[in-house]
Amino acid sequence: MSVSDIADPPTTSHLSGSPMSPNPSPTSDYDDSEVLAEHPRRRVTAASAIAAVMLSMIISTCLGSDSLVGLAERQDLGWQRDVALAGAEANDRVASFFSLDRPADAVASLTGETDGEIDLDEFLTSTTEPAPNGEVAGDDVAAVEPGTTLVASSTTVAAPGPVRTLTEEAPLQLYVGGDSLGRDLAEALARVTPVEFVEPEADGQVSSGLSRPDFLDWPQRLAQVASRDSLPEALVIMFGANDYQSVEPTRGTVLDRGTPEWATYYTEQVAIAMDVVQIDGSMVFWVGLPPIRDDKIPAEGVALMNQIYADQAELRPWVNYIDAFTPFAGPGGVFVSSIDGVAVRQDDGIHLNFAGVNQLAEIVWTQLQVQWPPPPPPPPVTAPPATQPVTTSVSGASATTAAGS
Amino acid sequence: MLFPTFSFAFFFVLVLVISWLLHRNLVPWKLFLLAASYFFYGYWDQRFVLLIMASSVGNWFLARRLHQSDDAEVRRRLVIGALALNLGVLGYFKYAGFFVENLDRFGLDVNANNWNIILPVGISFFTFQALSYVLDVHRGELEPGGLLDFAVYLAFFPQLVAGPIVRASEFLPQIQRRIDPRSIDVTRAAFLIGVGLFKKVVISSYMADAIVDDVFGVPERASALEALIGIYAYAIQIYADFSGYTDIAIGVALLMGFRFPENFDRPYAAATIGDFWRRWHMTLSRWLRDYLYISLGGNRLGERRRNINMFLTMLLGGLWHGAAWNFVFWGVLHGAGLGLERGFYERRGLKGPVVPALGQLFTFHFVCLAWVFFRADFGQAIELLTRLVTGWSQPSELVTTWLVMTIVAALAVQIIPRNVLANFQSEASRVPLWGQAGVFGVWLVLIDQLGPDGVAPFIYFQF
Repeated sequence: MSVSDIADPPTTSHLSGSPMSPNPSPTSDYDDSEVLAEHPRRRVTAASAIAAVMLSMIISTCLGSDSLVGLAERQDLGWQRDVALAGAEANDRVASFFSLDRPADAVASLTGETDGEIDLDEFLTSTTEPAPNGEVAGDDVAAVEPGTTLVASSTTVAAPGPVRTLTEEAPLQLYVGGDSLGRDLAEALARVTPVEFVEPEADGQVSSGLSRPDFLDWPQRLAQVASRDSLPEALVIMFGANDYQSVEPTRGTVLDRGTPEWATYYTEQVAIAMDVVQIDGSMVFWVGLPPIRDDKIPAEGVALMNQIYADQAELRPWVNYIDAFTPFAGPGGVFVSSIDGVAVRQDDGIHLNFAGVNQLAEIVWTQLQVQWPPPPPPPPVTAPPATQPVTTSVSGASATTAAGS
Repeated sequence: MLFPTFSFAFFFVLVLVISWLLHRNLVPWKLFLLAASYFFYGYWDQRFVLLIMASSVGNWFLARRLHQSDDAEVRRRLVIGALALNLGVLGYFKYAGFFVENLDRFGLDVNANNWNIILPVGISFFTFQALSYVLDVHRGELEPGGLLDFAVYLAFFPQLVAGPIVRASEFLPQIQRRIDPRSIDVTRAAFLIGVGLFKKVVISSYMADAIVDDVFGVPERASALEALIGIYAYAIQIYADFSGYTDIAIGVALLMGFRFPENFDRPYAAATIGDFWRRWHMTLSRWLRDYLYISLGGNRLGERRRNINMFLTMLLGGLWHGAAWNFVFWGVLHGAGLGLERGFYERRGLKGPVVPALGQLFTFHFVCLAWVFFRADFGQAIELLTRLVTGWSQPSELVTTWLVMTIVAALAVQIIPRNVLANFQSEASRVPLWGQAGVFGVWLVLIDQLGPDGVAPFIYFQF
């Protein structure tokens, strides 16, 4: 584009007949005066408009008082959330007293939002055995308080070797859950695993995690998965992108992120999530965090969360921990956006990009194949017999198995 | 701060009340609007506010000097300065990473790891508005306003992050005199906000969850029918998402007494590709036409040059959406499509399709084809299109009756004539105000119940 071109005054002749020209002319774009002349609308004063906005807000907050409480709960911790929650709960009490929340409840039941919840304590005691002393691993992670339903079982240890060879008739039933990282991994696993031998189910929820059950109660959701008639054989779970934040386990008690108290709370959440998916004959593959750019989560936060995952997985024979940090870290364990000249990260500094998440999925698939190998490919009819066994190799893979190895 | 959130509802009600309380005193009113807009923008990242402040001061200064100078050489340098400033900032934040990554890919070791650049939300939108201001002043079409007026124009929160791209000549007159508080088009505002929220929270989210994310994420596993319905669903999703945002923006501004240009006019009812671009993201099309297509020569230099200009305009329009090859290819498709279509009709002496319905059908499918490359990278896009041919033996579990009905309904709405909608709003405006407020309140609750927990960011925020 030259400056003299810019200086040319635009005239309609430049536009006539152009597919990019507006209709009817450049000076009357979007003029709705003709429409208004034919279909006049009543105007009101600004005061009336404000009154109408207020009235509609009051009506919607009364009728949707439950949702308002949920919205307030999902705010980041701080005084704004406290104020919002106090107001929303007061509003909810009034609305409930006058039964104003009934219509919204009816709509929610129609859309299936109020399906029955599972009592997690009862669920855990019915499916698992308590661990001795309820201890958790790791020197820098505090012990879980008495009464917490941390468990370890001796009844569901997966064999270290193959469980079964996959067939087209009985493909691997694979559940992949977690936050947005888990969602991306679910998609990548569906891409890299053979279509005929693996049936993945994606259950990734953006912005969710284990720190804030008020946003999405993952233990509850995982318990629903573990209670189905048709159970997954392998569960791949990946959390953490939204978890390094201060939490409020009980009203008024805020645990700042990264403190020992926070670590204890987060360890409990991880432990419960691992325990609810203790399913007979199934294995859990818990994928740790890759390096995250410091402005999103400080390096010590990523290290702490990965330590918690690894330690808790080590306590549970049904859980394998997969290291996603080492394959994506630069020299000295720092965040890098590309590995060996290949970009592996999205611009946000949190998520892996298409190539990166495919690489991680290959690492996970390598682990899954230890227990569930696909059948060997049929030998070519005319080729001489193979002299070397077929091996699967993933560049940069660094997966460790905490159990069964 | 996203529109469909508790934070924004609280923020907006407060701003609405204070804005109308202050509107009689222009300077305090404008200062308040500016502060509110900076607060809104800083909610994402406070550093972004410094960027938009710097852009405001820089562009205002250049435009003012342009207006004052009669020397052609000085004016030329000032325009080059404005272009360098705006395109330089945009290029750095939006495209530097892309180019460095590609240089790395071609073997030039510039170490992409050192270029972790955070893209400020809405930078493409406010940069285009700033450029249009300077160029309008240069062309003598606009008297430059004061710094405060210009800063409010650039940062005004309803349109700041995802448009519509409002021209200074449309906006500045509205803040340079007192807004009439006796003539608020509250029915249209409620209609736009209510429909916009429904499109974003219910329709867009439903399309993404029901089929789009699965089909585009893992095209290898999609059946042919899932691929086809998934592509249609993405067309609905991106329309509902983006037009939903701008509907809300226009409605919110209307309640504050401002009038913004429309940004969408039932685009999937377009009978030609050219017609599509007169109905889709209309304010971007207008910007590209006025400041790029015409600057390249428009149609003054013959058919061949016109087609090249159109192609380049669409190519750069594609690149405007993001620093990735799939956006470039999307722009190439539309640029080529526009040129071929124009030639096809001109050779036959036609102004458009003989059977408009066939034109609509063809245009919609061309646009859908281009959306595939907009949403997915090249390999995935080809895989998805391949599935349309090879995947007919697979079951289509993602395709439900409810999903197909929703897509059909969303497309059917596109052919409702404008005057029917205008008549509906006209009739609705005669309902007593308390009745309108009641219906709107119930509508909000319904949207909340039908939508998912939490709202995904708008697709166009990334652009």
